[in-house]
Amino acid sequence: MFSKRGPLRGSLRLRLLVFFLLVTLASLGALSSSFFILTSGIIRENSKRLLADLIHQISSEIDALFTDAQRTLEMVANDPKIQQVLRRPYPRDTAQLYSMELEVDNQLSFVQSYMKDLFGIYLIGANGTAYKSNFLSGKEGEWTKAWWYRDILDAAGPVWLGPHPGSFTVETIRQPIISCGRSIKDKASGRSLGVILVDIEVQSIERLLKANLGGGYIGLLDSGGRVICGIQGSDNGEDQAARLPEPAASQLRYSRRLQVNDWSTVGLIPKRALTRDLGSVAQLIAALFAAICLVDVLAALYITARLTAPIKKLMLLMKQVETGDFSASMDITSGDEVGRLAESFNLMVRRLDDSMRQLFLNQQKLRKAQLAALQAQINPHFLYNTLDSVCWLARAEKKEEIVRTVTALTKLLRIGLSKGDEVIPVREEVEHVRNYLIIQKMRYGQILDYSLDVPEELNEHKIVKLVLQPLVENALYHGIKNKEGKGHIEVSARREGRAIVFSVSDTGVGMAEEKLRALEGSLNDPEARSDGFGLKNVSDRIRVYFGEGHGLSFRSHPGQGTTVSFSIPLDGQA
Amino acid sequence: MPPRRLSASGLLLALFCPLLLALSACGRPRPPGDPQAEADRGGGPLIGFAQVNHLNPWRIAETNAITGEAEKRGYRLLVTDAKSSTQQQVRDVSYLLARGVEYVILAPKEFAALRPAILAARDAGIPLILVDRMADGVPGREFLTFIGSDFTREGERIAEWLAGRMRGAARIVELRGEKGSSPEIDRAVGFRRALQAHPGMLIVASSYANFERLEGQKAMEEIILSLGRSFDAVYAHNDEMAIGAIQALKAAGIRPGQDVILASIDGGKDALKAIIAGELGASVECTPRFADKIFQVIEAHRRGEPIPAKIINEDRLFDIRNAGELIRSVF
Repeated sequence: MFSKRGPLRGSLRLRLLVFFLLVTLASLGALSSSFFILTSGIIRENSKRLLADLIHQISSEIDALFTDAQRTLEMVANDPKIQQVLRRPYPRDTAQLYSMELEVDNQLSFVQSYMKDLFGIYLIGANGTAYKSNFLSGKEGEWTKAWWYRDILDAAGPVWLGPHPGSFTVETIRQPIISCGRSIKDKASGRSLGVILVDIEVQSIERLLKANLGGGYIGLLDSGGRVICGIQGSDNGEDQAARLPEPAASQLRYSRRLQVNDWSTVGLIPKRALTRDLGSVAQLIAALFAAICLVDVLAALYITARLTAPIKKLMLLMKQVETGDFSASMDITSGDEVGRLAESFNLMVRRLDDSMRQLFLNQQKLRKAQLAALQAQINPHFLYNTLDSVCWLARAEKKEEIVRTVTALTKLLRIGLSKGDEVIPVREEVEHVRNYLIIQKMRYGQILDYSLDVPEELNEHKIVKLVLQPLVENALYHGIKNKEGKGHIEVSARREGRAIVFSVSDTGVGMAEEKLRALEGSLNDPEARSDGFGLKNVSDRIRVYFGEGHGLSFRSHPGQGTTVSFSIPLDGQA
Repeated sequence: MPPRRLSASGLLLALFCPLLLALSACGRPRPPGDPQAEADRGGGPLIGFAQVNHLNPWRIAETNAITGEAEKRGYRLLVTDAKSSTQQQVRDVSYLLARGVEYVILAPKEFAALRPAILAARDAGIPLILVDRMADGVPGREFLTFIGSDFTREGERIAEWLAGRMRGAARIVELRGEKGSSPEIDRAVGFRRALQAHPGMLIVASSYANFERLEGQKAMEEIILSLGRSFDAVYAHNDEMAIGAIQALKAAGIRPGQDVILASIDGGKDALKAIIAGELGASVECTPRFADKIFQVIEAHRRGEPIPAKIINEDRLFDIRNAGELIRSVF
């Protein structure tokens, strides 16, 4: 069969093939066998009916022949001239005897000439005379002492005598002959005048039996069941005279009694003949079965090939996709499930391709943004300012404040680097912005107030690092510094459903409506260059990390301040 | 009777017409020959006898004689009955040859039409013996020999007898046998040849009656209707026609044996009865009982002895003088 590593093993096509074949074989088998059973029943019934018809027909033909024979006997027996001949005593004069014999013979032969199937008609007078209708030489004998003469004379009606070799009264070639006789009563006195006898050659009955019956047997049986004559049909159509076959359980048998006497015709069809016909039916069914199976196998091979070819192609394309080649695309040739599958596949591959490209771009963007954030954080300007402040503090010998500032700077840098992690706990991010604010408060203590409002429960949630600090820086440089007098910056976070909303509010100059739009526009335009304030960097990173819905949003009124807020999912990851 | 077939062919035909059409061949012809009797006892040589028919006592006596002789000498015999058909008889001979007989005995129905059968036996190398009648062939080359009566001589003997009985002057009605058969031809020829010596003997009517009793009767009736009583002798080619003619004469009120003298050939039992009854004048024997001669020829041939080209039976003439004593010796 199939080797374990064969191309068909476990394949959909093999399973389809096996399924097709099993279903077809099972249904064909059921159909064939029920057809065979049905047919054999019909054949048997048909044979029975045909056999019965045949036997009826043959019986009626034999009856007709025998009835003719009996009528002939009666007619001759009642003929006045015949009665007269038989009434006369045996002639003394031989010449007269012979002359009369020839004359009566002639009369009988006329009667016989109308009865083609009778072999001969014979009159046996009680007076010792004998007459014959045919011209065969008469045998010598005292017929009035023959057993058959006595039997016929004693019987009331016609007597049928089974087959005997040759005629009783004339010279023959000893062919089998049956006879029917009756006694002749003198119409005048009621006295017995003798008997009249007809011979019928068994051969002429056999002719009536000659019906084409294949392997069957048809016979005429006497009252004791002995065969008078019978023919055995053979397969090649050559019927032969035959003995009655041995009774067999499986043969069809039909018999019918004759109306004329107590003989009967019998027909037998052996099982062999019935099954021979069935054999041809079986052969035919087998041939049809084989033909249908062949067609079925071819059809199944074709159909499964057609069904599985696109799937195989899809598989190959899938492999191609697995190796990273997203150019794979399937030709859509049909509108069926396979066509739709191909369509979906193409769509999927295209989406996958887009996603991969997007992912690639995002990664690139993220790296850039991270780098930029890092760079922004440690820009020399900020460091210079901070160190300058520390320098001033040192001159003023404000030891406590130096420690605080340098500590803040150290923490700021540590968190900024933070082992390269991109995502950090909210706690650390807040710590980072707190340190930043501590440093800036040192410089801009006269104009800057700040507050931090982050509930502790949010501490351990994750956030993209270094997003708050640029917002605070913006609020300071563009909001507070440009304003007369003191300003306040508030960094807050709160939980809103499944999200954490961070906001950085300042009480600075605020922005006009159009400036606000322009800013939002530049943040939403992926092609726009960074504005230098770090806002775009922040916005991009939030979006890359948490999805498009998580950008920055602004609320601002000129002269009243600005609030920048964004949200991240509660569990820290999109 | 229409041919019948006890099978489901009909049903199947309806279902698968083209396929089974070829399978259901009905009513094939029967093979030639209709073996009437086969004496299968013992392992003696197989002999075939192609008989014309068994419709008259002569043929039956002949077959019975041959059957009896074969049995007596320990031969197996195969008899066919051509039922009076020439074609059937030709087929019968082929059948016998096919059955592997060592000798064929042929009683030919006709002279020319049986030539194919003679040639078939010659080609098969099986010796063929013609009996009763002659057929077209060369004795000793195409067939072994002919055994039978001299039909011409029979005709001559009847003519001589009639001439004597009628004192040299008679108006003769001739009832001829089966037209074209060798006994019919030869009996007519022999009769006429002998009549040449008797100018007073004239054939006034001649009619074919096929060697059969009822046909002889019918032919005689017609002749009586056309000739009235203007004939005084009847020559029938066989007994049967003569006996038929006797009934016709009696029916017409003509006394056979007194008003009209009848003579015929064959010498069967009914003929001798008619002779004894005084109705038939004479019958020349043409014996069907020469089976012993047939088997003598076969045995001589088996021994390699030369066989004469023709073996003629010795036949008797029956009339009122010897019929009574010989009636038990005829067939």
